[in-house]
Amino acid sequence: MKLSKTQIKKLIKEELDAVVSEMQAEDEQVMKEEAEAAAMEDIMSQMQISQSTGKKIPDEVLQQIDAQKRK
Amino acid sequence: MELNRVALAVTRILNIIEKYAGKSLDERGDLFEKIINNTLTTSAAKEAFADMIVAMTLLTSGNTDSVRDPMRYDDYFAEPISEILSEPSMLALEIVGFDMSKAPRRGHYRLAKKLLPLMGSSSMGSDEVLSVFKKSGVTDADISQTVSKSSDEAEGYDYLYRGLHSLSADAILSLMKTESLWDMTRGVSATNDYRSAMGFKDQKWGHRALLSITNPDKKGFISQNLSKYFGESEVILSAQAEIESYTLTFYCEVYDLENAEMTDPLATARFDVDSEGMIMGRIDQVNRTVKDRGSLSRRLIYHVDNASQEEQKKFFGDLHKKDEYIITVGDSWNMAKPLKGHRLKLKPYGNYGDINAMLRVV
Repeated sequence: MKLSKTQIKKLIKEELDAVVSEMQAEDEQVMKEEAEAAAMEDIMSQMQISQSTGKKIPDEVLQQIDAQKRK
Repeated sequence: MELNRVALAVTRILNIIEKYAGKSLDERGDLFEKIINNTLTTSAAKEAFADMIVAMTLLTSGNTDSVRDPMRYDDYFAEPISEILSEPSMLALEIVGFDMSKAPRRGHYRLAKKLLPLMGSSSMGSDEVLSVFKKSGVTDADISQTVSKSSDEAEGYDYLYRGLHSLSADAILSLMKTESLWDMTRGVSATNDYRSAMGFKDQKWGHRALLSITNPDKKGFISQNLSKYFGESEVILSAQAEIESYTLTFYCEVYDLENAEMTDPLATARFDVDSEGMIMGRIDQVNRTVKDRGSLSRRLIYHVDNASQEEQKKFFGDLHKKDEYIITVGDSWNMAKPLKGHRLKLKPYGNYGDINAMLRVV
């Protein structure tokens, strides 16, 4: 079967679109993984810092939190 | 590299004495001397003990950037180690002949980086601690009783906690991933005191997290009263942990897209998301200008029971990265009646996301 010029153009466009969208998906995946790795590193870095500067929650507030959790 | 287990047991004994014995500085000095000299009988054992105390000190009150990467160490900013040591650690280091007049060097940070993963992954039964204590020659009945009764401080903790603040939305998303493994083997600062972790988490704005870590093998180096900041009850943990479950809460402003006249938010809403697949949004505060506020107050505007993790992450991620998310109120019986079928625009509001994640050391 002989394809017309328009059909050939359409096929090429479809093929190109498929390649572009595949590349975009790959890029998005890489960006997602990089963002996840950066977020993980942020968390781990913060986890190496002592928690001493935090204010202690008074016992009565803690009891309220526990009571709410039990509900 | 292996940990000297007798030295490790001595750190636990000294911590118990500091925490519970109620002795004067002189009395504690005498006790420490007796325990250290009778149990750490070789210079290698004393050196191993000093290395642990110094490594713990560099993580808890030294420069954590230099612990993470010793190449970042800058001696210009280094202060004498005596400035960052706790009183009991100074007492103990003096006994083993450690020079405290100088600043820690890059070599100390290198050693800490190597040693902390071993210290944080160590486990020790109370029998082992007590058998070392028996060799110390301490005959004071009160002290013996204190050491034998302090089972948590001797053998470690089943549950540890860690608070986190000022997190990115991506950090919250990475916690919404059950069964994923978290590599904490570099050695991280945790606490057995829930309140310390909560206090740290609530210290600053931004997305926040409380990690509750189940620790079946009771791993960890118990810093507690040996650390300069003894109030936080610190335990250094080095482990791989799996995220078992989470609950996430965040607040939004709600704009009714079907009411073009109203440019202010209609209400604020609280959203709860959990690892069982639930996303639930409930009206929190209704705008004062809204008529018949009672018909909206505390009513549901969104409820999904079986959302996949990807759907949940998309909801939270889009809302906090694109700064808005549009939902349509369903028509089930429990939805806010006046809003049924309305499209609502959500915008992040207030304290951002607050996640409680349950992890288990594996």
